[in-house]
Amino acid sequence: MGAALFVDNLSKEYRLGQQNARRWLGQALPSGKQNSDVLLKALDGVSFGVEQGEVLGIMGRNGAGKSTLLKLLSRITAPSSGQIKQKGRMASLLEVGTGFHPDLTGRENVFLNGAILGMRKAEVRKRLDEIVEFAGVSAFLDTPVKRYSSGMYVRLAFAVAAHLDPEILIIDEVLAVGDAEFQKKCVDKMKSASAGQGKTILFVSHNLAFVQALCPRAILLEQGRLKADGPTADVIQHYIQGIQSSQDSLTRSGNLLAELQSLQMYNEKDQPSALIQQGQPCSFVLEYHAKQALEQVGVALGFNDMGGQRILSIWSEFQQQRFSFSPGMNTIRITLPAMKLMPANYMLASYLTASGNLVEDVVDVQQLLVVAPPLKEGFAAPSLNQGVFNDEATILLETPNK
Amino acid sequence: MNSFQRISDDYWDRILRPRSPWWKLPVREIWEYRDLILLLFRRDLISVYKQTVLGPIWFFVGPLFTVAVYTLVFGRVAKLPSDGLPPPLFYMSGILLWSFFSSNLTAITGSLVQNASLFGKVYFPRLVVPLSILMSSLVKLGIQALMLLLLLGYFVLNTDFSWKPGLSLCLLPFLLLLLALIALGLGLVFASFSTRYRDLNHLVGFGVLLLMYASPVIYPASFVPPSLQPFFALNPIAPILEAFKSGLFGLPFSHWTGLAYSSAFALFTLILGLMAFQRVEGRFVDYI
Repeated sequence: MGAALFVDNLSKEYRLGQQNARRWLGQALPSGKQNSDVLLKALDGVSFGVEQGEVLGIMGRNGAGKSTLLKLLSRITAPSSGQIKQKGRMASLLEVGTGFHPDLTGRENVFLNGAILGMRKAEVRKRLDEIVEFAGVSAFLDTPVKRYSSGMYVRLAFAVAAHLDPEILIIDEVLAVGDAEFQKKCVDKMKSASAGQGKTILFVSHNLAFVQALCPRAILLEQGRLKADGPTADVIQHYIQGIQSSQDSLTRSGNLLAELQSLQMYNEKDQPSALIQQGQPCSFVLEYHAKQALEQVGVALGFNDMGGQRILSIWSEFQQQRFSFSPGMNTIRITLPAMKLMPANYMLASYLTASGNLVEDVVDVQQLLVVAPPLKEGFAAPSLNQGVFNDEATILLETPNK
Repeated sequence: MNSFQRISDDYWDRILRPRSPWWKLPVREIWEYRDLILLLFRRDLISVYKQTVLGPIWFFVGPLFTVAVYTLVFGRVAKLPSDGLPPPLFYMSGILLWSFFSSNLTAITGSLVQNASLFGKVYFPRLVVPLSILMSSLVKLGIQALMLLLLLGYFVLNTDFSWKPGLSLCLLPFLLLLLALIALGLGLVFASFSTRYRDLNHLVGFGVLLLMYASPVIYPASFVPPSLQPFFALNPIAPILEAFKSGLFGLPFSHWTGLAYSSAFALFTLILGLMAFQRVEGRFVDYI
């Protein structure tokens, strides 16, 4: 397999400032006020290469430069310096349904959208049945899309893009749309595209679980620079640590006689890790700094889903345990014999009480990624679609009237 | 990384760089996107009459009303001369080419700003949009030409008007090409600047209206007083409209110098337009 994409020392600057007459006059009259424009470096000397058939995850927080990179890759805007070299047709699903006209029918929009994405009419015609079946809208093909439900609309739009058949495909957060069944269809489509057809895929998502599941390799952008490039698990570690170190300003409530200083996770090998494999033991070490001695201390570790909903609480009260904190550092270690949460992202929270009073309540302390265990060939991975917990069980086939 | 650096540029299909020179028109790429030109053109036509009762008839209604109002206001009330032709025929023939030019110019001027959300999401050669605008204008022109023929037929059958078109009517395709090129050239210049300075959109709306009164649409060129003729001769649209009327109604033809001027103007604006367009094309999405 050869190279598919090479990003060479790519930079992009944006000028933040008003485009108005004053600016214009400012340029014409050099004696006038200094130009107050701010140059924002959205991308700063980013370089990486991608081989054909590779699935590359692109990670980074909001404002790290992901969207800018995608815009440059998909030619929506030109770089300020550096270059991008591509082999083969490239298509991007930055936002599906681009160019859909509400008054046109599904069929007309499929052709229009296909052409916008660079397909020839004959190609669309050849794939029309496939596209319509994939989207599940065959009964409404000749209905204007403004009468579609939003789900149908998005499915049809994604279906067109998914049947584009480019050599390089850029996908950005589209998996956030549609129901679980449709998401699974999309993931399968992506997997078969990369494995079976040798397609190169660049996948951008905030959903670490998806990135982990789909991409063997990932890059991490931070403030426009390439921060990490390597196996996805390593890059995710970088990413989560980056988030943790930047969260000095946690919102804490309570009387704050003791405050959480650090929260570290350890995997089954007792190594610090933000990735925990489902079914494996793991532990959490919480360090609290107490201003004074505290009695009857209760400690809770909460697991929230990305929507902020509490999924699991480990509370000393449930174990009928209480502690005494001495002034200074107090370390609590919580060990789980097996991580039973489904593979997904979770946010950790801590809750501390002393003699029945709230000492500190703090959320969004640290992100945790639970990953699926290695699977035997052909078995489905446990996922959030099947619930929040996965417990061990003995399942037997008992033939009746034995 | 070094292994990628060593690959020669011939291997790659596409190399994206900060800027491309203006004369490098992506002709091949535009050709590859020819289906998109057709589909955008179809979308523009269809969306005009979707969910209307009269459907495509609406394409006739606009020009019909315009001709009626012009006949009433300029012909009956203001009593402007019409080269001895029945006023409705005179106005219709003027409106036909003028509206082809003016609708192209305004639509192309607005094409970048109006499609900004589309351009911000997906790449295709940006020139595809102005080209599809030219195509749909051509169809609207065809429909209006049909109306002109019907009108001609009516006057030939019901009045003593006799229709003797001149040989110079054969110039029509060339005249349309000139109008299209001028509209494209000017439109691209304005469109390019309007990505930064939205003021231009308002200005062009104004300008087109003023230019109509400076062009022989509602009056014949012969009606312009001699003192104003030198200014009138600066208008590159005027010779084209006059040449069309001469050909259509078999009037004496004396527009070669004017047409030569219009052709030079068309070429000049086209180059200017492509230069301006190429300059903003890569980056206008950033500040539109």
